[in-house]
Amino acid sequence: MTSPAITSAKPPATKFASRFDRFQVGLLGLAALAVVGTLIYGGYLLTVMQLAMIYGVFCIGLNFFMGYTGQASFGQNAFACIGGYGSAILCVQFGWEPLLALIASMVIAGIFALIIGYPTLRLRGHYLAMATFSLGLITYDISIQWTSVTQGYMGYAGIPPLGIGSFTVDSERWKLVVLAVILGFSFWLSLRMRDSRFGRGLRAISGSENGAAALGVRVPRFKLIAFIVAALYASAAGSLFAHTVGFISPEVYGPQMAVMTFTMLFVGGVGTIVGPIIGAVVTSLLQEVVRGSGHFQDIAYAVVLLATLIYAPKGLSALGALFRRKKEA
Amino acid sequence: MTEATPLISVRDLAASYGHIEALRPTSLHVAPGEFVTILGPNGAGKTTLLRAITRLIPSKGQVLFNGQDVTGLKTHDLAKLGIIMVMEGRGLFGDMSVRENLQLGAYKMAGSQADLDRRLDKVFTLFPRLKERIDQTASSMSGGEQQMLAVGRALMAEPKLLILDEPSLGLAPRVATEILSTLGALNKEGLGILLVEQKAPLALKLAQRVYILSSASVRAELPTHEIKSHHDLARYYFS
Repeated sequence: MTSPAITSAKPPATKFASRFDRFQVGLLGLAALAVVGTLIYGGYLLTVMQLAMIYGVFCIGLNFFMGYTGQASFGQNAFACIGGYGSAILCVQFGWEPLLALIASMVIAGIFALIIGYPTLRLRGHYLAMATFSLGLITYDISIQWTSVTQGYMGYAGIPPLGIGSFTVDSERWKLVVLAVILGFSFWLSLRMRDSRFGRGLRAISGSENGAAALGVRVPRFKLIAFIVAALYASAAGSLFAHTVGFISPEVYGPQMAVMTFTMLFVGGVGTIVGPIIGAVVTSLLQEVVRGSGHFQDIAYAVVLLATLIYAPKGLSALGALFRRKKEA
Repeated sequence: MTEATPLISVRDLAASYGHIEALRPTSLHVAPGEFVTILGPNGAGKTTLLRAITRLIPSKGQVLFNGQDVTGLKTHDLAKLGIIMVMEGRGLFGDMSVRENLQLGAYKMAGSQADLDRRLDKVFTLFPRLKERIDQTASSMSGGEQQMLAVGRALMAEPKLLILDEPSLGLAPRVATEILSTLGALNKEGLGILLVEQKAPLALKLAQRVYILSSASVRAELPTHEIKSHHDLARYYFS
């Protein structure tokens, strides 16, 4: 059994290296440095990084469904919308505690995901992508038209910041710290789920639905659970946006959000562990960098993204592996 | 052997891809501890038959497992009962490590960690190379190692019936022989095996009975010792 004919040349990798490579750890370190630098520098960058942390939470959830499970969804903004408006309505209209409102909104989003996902996830590929995109559009339209609840284009103002009891996170610097901690917790949680029996089942589905089923994985149920997990993350992100900015309107959770988070995930690396965080931070900062190019900012932004997708098709967090392969070749 | 309740009994199983009849009503059985091989030319319907048995594609007909009608069950339920299939092309999860692939093999049967370790040890005894590659991704291994992993993963479930679709595909003859010999050893320990294989001489050495499929239906069923030469096979293939 150990004859050369059936032996590959590569030495066995360590367990640590099979999860993170040094390049990915370096990228995470840079992202952490960017947060620390922003805390010191302050100013407008604080808002940029706050949003990056929020989108990072969103993308971690999206990565569960699109990356680990290999399913297409362009409609996760619908659940962010439920989270955002849930928090806004419960806090502003009913005077709920922000944290309680965030959790309640997540529960509502999870129930919606269960009801919508059950029939929708029978679809595959392009059909699933179109169905989820429609879901995002419908939710966007409802948030505009149902003025008695959502206040339409006027949106909701005066949403209180996060806090527990008499302690509220008012300062912009503290908001960033809290959001970074929440992002870290979301990341840790996703890592635990990814490495669990459930996570292995999801990744098996991504590899081959038939192959997973042949090993006993209940494919439809697992896809539904992954959809709900992604919805919970999206809802949390939607609520965090509302409590951080203090104002929401339908545009915040519109199709633009779906496109942006999709871009973030692919720039960072869909299906990779650190990709969602790297994508959220890099894309958010990139928007600010290309803003300096005036009228050409959209073109500059598109060129950078296209270059990333062409030369790093698996995203920035997979660049390390790409360089290693080229070196070995 | 065939007088006892068969391990699996397939009755008039038929499957179509749209209007194309890929498998005409086909019946076969495997007795407990029996090694049965299915031979046939390309396009005869061998893979379709295995996919229909394991419910990976919709089909008509009846499947009994240990005398119990399992026709309405889904693929994952069949896996729980002990019908495990190694698919053509190995069906490995390339981005996952050897360990994770093997853990997935015991997915439905996961008991305690000790139970999992016991199953892993058993696989490593058969394929020591897998232990050396435990944290390596499946896609980075050689073809032979990948096939060992595919078989090892299936064995993690401690199946009652192991179904294999061309496990020697794309492998060097020596490696193919080694893997098929391991299957022969497992069969001697009592494992029921249903094997689809293109490499007829190898398969015929191991199996006790053979079904010959041609043009989407069974052309012959006979004990392997009755096949004396390639000419016998050709006669059934093209009859």
